[in-house]
Amino acid sequence: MTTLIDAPPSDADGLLPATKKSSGGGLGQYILIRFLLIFPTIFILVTMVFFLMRITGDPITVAMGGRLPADQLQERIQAAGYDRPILVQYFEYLGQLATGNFGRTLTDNRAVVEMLTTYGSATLELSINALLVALLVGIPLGLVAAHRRDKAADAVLRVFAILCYATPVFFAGMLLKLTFSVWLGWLPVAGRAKTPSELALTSLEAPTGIYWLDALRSGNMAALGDVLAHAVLPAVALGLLTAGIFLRLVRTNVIGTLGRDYVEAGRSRGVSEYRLVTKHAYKPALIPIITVMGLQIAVMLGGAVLTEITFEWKGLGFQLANYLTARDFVAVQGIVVLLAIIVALTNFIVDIIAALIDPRVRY
Amino acid sequence: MTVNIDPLDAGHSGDGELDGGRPVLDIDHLQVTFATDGGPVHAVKDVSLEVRKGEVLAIVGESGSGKTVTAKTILGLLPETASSSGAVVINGADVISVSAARLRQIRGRDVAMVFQEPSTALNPVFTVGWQIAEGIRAHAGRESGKRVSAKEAKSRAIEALRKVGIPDPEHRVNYYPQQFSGGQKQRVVIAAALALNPGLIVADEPTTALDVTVQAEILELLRDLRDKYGTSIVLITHNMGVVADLADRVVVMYQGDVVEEAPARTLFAEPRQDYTRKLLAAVPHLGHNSASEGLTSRAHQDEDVLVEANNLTIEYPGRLGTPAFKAVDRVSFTLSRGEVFGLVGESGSGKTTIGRAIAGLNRTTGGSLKVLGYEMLNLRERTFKPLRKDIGFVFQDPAASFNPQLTIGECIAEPMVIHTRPSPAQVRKRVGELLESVQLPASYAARYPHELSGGQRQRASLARALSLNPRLLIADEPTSALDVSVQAKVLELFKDIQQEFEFACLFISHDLAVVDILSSWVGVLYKGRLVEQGIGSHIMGNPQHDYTKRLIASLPVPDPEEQARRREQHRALLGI
Amino acid sequence: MTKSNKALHGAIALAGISALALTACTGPSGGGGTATEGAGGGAITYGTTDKVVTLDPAGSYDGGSFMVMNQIYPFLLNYAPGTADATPDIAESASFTSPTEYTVKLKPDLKFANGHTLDSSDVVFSFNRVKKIDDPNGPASLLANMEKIEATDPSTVVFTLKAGNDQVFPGVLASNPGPIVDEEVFPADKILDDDAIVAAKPFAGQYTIDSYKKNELVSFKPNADYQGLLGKAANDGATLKHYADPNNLKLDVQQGNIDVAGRILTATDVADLESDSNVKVHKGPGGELRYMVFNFDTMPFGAKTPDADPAKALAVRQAIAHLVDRDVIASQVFKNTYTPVYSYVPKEFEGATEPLKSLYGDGSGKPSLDKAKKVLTDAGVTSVVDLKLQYTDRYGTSAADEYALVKEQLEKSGLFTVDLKSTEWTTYTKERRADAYPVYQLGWFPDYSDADNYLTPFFIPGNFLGNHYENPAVTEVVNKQLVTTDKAERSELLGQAQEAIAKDLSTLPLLQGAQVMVAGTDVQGVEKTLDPSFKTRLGVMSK
Repeated sequence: MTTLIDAPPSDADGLLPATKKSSGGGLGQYILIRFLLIFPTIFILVTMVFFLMRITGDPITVAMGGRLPADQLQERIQAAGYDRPILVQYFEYLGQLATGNFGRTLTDNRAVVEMLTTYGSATLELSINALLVALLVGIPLGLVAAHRRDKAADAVLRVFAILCYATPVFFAGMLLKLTFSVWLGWLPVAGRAKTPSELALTSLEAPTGIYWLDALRSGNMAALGDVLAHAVLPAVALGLLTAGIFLRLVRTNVIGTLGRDYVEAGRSRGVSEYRLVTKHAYKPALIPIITVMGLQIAVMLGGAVLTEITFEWKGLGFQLANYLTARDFVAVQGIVVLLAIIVALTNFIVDIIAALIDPRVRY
Repeated sequence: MTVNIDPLDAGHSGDGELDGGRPVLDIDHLQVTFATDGGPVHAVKDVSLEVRKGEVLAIVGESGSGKTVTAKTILGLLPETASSSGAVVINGADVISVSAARLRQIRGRDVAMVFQEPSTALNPVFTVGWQIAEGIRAHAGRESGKRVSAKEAKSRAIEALRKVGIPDPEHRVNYYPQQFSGGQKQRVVIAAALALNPGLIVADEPTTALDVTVQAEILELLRDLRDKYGTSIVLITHNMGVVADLADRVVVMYQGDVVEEAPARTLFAEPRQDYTRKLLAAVPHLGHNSASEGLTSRAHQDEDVLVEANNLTIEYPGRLGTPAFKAVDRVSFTLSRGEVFGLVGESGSGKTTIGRAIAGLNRTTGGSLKVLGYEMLNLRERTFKPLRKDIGFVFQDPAASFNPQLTIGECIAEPMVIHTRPSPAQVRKRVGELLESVQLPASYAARYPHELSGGQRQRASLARALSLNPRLLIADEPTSALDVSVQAKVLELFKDIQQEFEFACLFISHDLAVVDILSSWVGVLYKGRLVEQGIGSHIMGNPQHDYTKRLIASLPVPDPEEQARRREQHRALLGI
Repeated sequence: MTKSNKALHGAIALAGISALALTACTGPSGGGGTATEGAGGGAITYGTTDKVVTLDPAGSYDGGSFMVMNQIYPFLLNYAPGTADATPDIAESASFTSPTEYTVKLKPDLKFANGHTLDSSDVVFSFNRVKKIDDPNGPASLLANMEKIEATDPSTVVFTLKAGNDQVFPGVLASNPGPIVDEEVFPADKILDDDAIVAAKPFAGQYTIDSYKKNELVSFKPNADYQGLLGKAANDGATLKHYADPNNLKLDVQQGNIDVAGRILTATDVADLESDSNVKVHKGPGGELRYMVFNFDTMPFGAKTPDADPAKALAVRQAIAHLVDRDVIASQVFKNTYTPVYSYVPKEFEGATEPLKSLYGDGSGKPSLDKAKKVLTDAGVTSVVDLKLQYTDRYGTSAADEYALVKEQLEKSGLFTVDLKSTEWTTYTKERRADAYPVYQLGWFPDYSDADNYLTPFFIPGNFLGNHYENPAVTEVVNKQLVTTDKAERSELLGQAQEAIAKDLSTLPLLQGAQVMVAGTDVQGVEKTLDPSFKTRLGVMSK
């Protein structure tokens, strides 16, 4: 039930209703609580991942189980401390986390933080590219569908949208790869760049790890072209999923806002049709996209795992799959914690941005 | 372009000639037809009318009368599926035949519109100043070839806001719509309409979405506009009280035709047409037909108490970071068998919350609420469930409370099936009886909710509430979505059934007159507090609490002369 | 190729324009590297699906890491391309100077790429370090026979062994614990980070690392200071590219994005590539072994079963050995990327015999139903034997087809009913040890290139199989060959061991993996590294 408090009649023309006034402070408090909630979320995730990983096997057995006698294997497990009670290991791990020590990966001996920054930048690049695809495909097509509502174009676009978000990411990836790389040969099969460009880009001073950015900074146009050619298919494979969602969302929202009273009210004031559409209908219709974008980050990171594997895109998702098979707890936990932080933070930031640009949230 | 100027007909006009006799608006033989899947629908069959400068013309009618379509035609706002013929002439231009560009010029400058729901007529993502200025600049640029600077447009927006009585407009011009209360929002909508000083304002149900006390202020504002600026107003409404309060002349429409046209006082005093007479008779009139007429003490004082609230408090937890909101604050009352307790209040007063709490749909958070002897504080669904069959509930919007997938018969039978598991034959028989008692043909059991009219649905809703012979019925605004004539019939029916079945009833409404017709005992809620309760006719005739006084004073009665008197009498009380 | 180039040029042009616009806005930024044309000019690119655990020899015991180490670190002993005989690499000489003393003399004037000298002290440091760190992922266990190591002068080290005349020891020195590292760079008691290693350039092998992106891209430059066995690299440099998906590796080599692809796992891919005229498939002997293990306690008629009977159990094992048709499995499932193996030691190793061929089947390697029937009847096994057969996902997806075929071959005889199940690897290793599987699949990659590596870990008490097989005669002969210095005599003993195990059938080897590399047709020298040493040497490849 919504209980609207209207201003009491005696001061209907007076000050703002009391409840509205407090909402400014309420927003601040809301932001604070949202922020604080990030921590328990991450804690729960860490705990879940920790126990799930530990009860399904240790990395030493995975690596050596087929070649070492039982006693030697046990010795190694003991030496690594994996035979201790799981709670002891858990609190030890929590203690490490509390001091900001994420440890070193077990299967390839690297600092987790360094591993995260290395692969994180690749995933970031993929996500940015995919988001661009989603926005550039989803929003314009959504607008077209809204304006051609119930016409042929709309029907086609709606089917397209359903295909976009109903097609599993890995399948879309394979399909794109088979068509454009293997069959037509237009685009590279996999990876983030050809070996020479990759060598050039990784040997730069202080690389960002985002290849097109590094290529731009170093003015290496050949590498840039190569990087972009490699980026197309993964970005499309991952971005289409979200593009489909954006398409539907934009279509529904714009159809909704086009039919709103305020559009008719604007019309009754003599505002031009063009302006009614671009200002009155689009702005309120497109603001929710920002919120959905925040939610889509989680979907994208999930999809990134599959896309990265398909396209040999060496990012967090790609590594996550590898570390999972190798039962590298430390690495998996590191990646999951980072992903959780990213999802929590982006949602948090997106909510704040939405609150700042959407007066409906702010007031 | 056909300009059709009617010869003046003196008898036609209430206020005689103004402005050289040329009407501000002249509608001549207007016909509007909608193309639908089910064939053409003639929404407006043949309407001719005119509005003079400084005149308020009310177009009244029930749903389907064509009044809103007529209003939209005046601004050329009909959808593409509509085709219209005839002429709608404003300042010499026929909006039906002019070009789109010319139409855009007319809109806002020559005629503007005020909408029913101010919260949806304003775009939530732009400031009110921006929206008002937008209309100003839309015209300035195009017509005079001279652009109006943003600054100038804003200062004119401030001026418009000042005109409609928004305090501190320099500051509030930068507010977003949702920062205003409902009444203020409607003022903003009116300000937007006034921005270019159009000679004519079409107000489509401008107060229907507002509380009655706010309605009084908006009506006063519209009256002011006419008096001060000579603005003509076409007032579209179903509310005869509003008509009586504001209109100079009235056009009564029924099914796309004009039934009667007369100066307001004449129409109310001597309606010529049957339809008009019936319509007027159906309008609840405060003080007429009171259920508590002549009572001196409470009819059901403390005999067989079914509901007892004692300092009942209901809080809604605040959203993250906001304090809890007290919807109901220390309310005490009793409701006995056979009694109808009318609960009156404006939006946000807590009346619906109380109703839902009694039905076990809302949790109570403090004090005591005993329903059929069961303490609702810390309610447990398992122990309360057996009592549910003794409580019926009728909702405001019957369309929303019926499952569209089920037939009316299945909907009505649903509570029975849940609580008593009857045989199919028993169900059929009972549903037939119930439909008969709410005066619906038994064959309606096989129909689906959307096949029924609003009034029929509300009858079916009543039948469903009564299906288990409840001892207690909660009716939350059961008639406020209905047309007056339908409302009158449903109220009549309701009264009969209540007397026949003798259930206790909590009747919730914002409409004092409706409450008075049904309830002998009335309580007035204001911001969660029960500020006054007593015998209906006593409260209506001699209110004690300031708020009750204001509430009664705000309610326009369907009689222009009486209403004018009341208005003068209560001017101080209403703060207008 | 031409098509993709065209598209690429288009993309480059487009990107170039937008990039110019962008850089024009942002102005020049520092660190502008000139375009490095790595490929061409004799540099080769090698792709693999293997992974690097660490570049620190003390911390890894896996093929992927060892492959990189082989390019950058020197060994005391190594294998010349084409052979599996450990011969001095940066050593001048190496031999047993007494049964328990193995003395190695270094070549003069050795140094690391960072300029540090490489002398006996570095060698002592390197081996002691592996033992001291004893990393759970490390190769310290291979040095179990090393009592101590001492430097007698700057160019001489002496290993003191616990058991004398260890014939495997030279092989060990050429294997995982063998790389010589710089004592001025590596800490004595812990693993050094890869990036720190690369930065400090403690390389004295055929190559140094130019740039390193772990498990993505490693770029090697020839090391001019290297004076070892492998000689000068045949190319101007090499790039190692890591892949996760064999399919992508395959596509890239087909499209010429890389020159050589090693470790292409699926048989169908290899078969597919063989028909592609752009690439050439190179095959060489492989050390990988695919085999079945019998749990002597829980197999039919095993020691812990209700109807325990060692004779019947043996008959069951023999009947299975009579029935499996390795040729069919190799050709149908593996398209001959694996080849039938009739011994415990792959045939490329010195001392390998093929006892399983003569003992079982028709004598030529094909199955024999009659012999299987006879051996069971003779042992008194009259009813159909129920066999629980377990396999895992660890050894490639083809395992499912492989064991389905084994099941079919056994059941077709009418002598067995087979209950075939698959288990995920981590669970598999646990349950296997807990005697949960009567007969099950395993695979083996050798630690070092010596026949003994296929015997000692498997068949002497305390072996890693833990299948409750023990035969004192086998133990004796296996231990004896280990310390026999005379080559011919040792071969004889190895033959005896294989024969004895083949009679007992502790395990049943089925297939031996071939080393497969796929290279562009313009690449030379690939076949040189496909030898029984199982070392991948980038230095022999060129184009």
